[in-house]
Amino acid sequence: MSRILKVAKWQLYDARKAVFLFYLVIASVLALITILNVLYGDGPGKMGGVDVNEVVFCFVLGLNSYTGAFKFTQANSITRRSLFAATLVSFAGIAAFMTLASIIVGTILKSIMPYEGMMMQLYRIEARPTQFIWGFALNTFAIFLGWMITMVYYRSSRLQKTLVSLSPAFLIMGLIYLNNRTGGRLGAALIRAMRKALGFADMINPNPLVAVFSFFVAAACCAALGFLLIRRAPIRS
Amino acid sequence: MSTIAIKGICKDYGTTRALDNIDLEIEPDKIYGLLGRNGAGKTTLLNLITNRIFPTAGEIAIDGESVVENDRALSKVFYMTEANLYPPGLRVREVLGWSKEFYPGFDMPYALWLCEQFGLKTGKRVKELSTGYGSIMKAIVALASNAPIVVFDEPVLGLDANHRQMFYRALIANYSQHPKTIIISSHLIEEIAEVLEEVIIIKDGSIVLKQSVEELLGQAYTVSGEAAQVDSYLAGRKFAGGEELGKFKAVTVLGVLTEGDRALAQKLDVELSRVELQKLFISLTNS
Repeated sequence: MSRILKVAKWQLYDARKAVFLFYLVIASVLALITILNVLYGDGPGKMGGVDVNEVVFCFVLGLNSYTGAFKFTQANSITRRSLFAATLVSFAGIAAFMTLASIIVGTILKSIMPYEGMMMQLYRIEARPTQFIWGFALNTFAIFLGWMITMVYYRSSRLQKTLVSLSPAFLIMGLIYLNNRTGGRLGAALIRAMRKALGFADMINPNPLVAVFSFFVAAACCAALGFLLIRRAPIRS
Repeated sequence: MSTIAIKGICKDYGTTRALDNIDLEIEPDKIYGLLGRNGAGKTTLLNLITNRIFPTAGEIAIDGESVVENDRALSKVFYMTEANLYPPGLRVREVLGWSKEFYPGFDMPYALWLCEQFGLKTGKRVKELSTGYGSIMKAIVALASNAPIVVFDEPVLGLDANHRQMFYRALIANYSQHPKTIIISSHLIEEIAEVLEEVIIIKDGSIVLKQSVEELLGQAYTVSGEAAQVDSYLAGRKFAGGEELGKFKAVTVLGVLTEGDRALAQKLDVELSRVELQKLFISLTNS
């Protein structure tokens, strides 16, 4: 257990610079927008969805989290299983921190100008606990998705990498073809399923907790696939 | 005191068998040299011992516990690889600090002292280190880790003669103070010969020899002199490899030196000398 926590501590230490730079950029951009709005605008402008940046950042962080950590833990004779367990701990920590920071940034923005976060824009709900759980689930999914994609690439041969890279294009083309063959029923069914997964079964009263469940399930699927890929991963230069 | 037991280890890469049914016992608190030509399977064996890769068949255990995905067994090993596995942006002092996290016995004052001795600046980032200083940093971490088993794969890669000498001295001093199991894989055989207690020679994926250096060197000797006289001496003897330069010839004779041999050598005016480990290695791996 102590080795797992030490690895998690290392992963958080490794991510600290990227997180700091991210918030430095966010702070600078927000400060600039605020100054420009006050100086040249017709009063303070309106902003929304800044928290989408956190989701993108979590995804990119996930993409960059595997190779370096794997090599470093191998240098210190840590098992892959411990690295995986530590990854769960550190990713949960990063996702929670990013969500909290996003709520704080949103609150600051709201005090400066009219602002709506992603959650408000989608569900018209402002309750902080729901906002946190929803953001946490989304960030967790984003970071594990990024991590899993890197794992897939890491374990793939050159040919497999090419196939994986081309797979989204094939998937889209396949879906378009099937959608045309079914007279648009496939597309409609997919949209319905997506709506339900994100809690929009009832469009008037959407339920963000359904989306929370979906994000956690998706994150768990990414983590499970990642575990299958990491358990026999060899060192590669 | 940690023992490594290797039983029936095979490793295949596609259709190529890199290691074939290796049985080996590494006894505690000895310095082993793992020798073999390029592609013989040395690094594959070390990677298997340290759970970097997985065997196709067989088992490796440290103190009776399998090394496969076993943190307890692996915490007893430090493996210094030829490749650098540390993040390029990390500073040397950070590498040392994190090594202490993962190896509780890590001796920080000793590590810092070694850095000073080798002239390694702890404020430098890993990516700023030359090949030689990269090796020095990894060797320092390995020596200071105080793990019961320390494995070195090409530890002196890129080191100048002075630093190589310093490394061997530091290794011996470290071993004298804190006896441990040390496995060194190196191509600079003559240099590490002085340090080794036992030698393991691997050839085409199989262990061809495991013996104490003293015993091994006692079972062979070199005869040198005028080619015709050396040939006369060799008549009816088992020998392996040799060198010829003009009329001069030197050959490694396999066998224990007797008084009769000495008398014959004197009569033929040829010189008998202690065989060099490297020459013996070449003889054993060339056939």
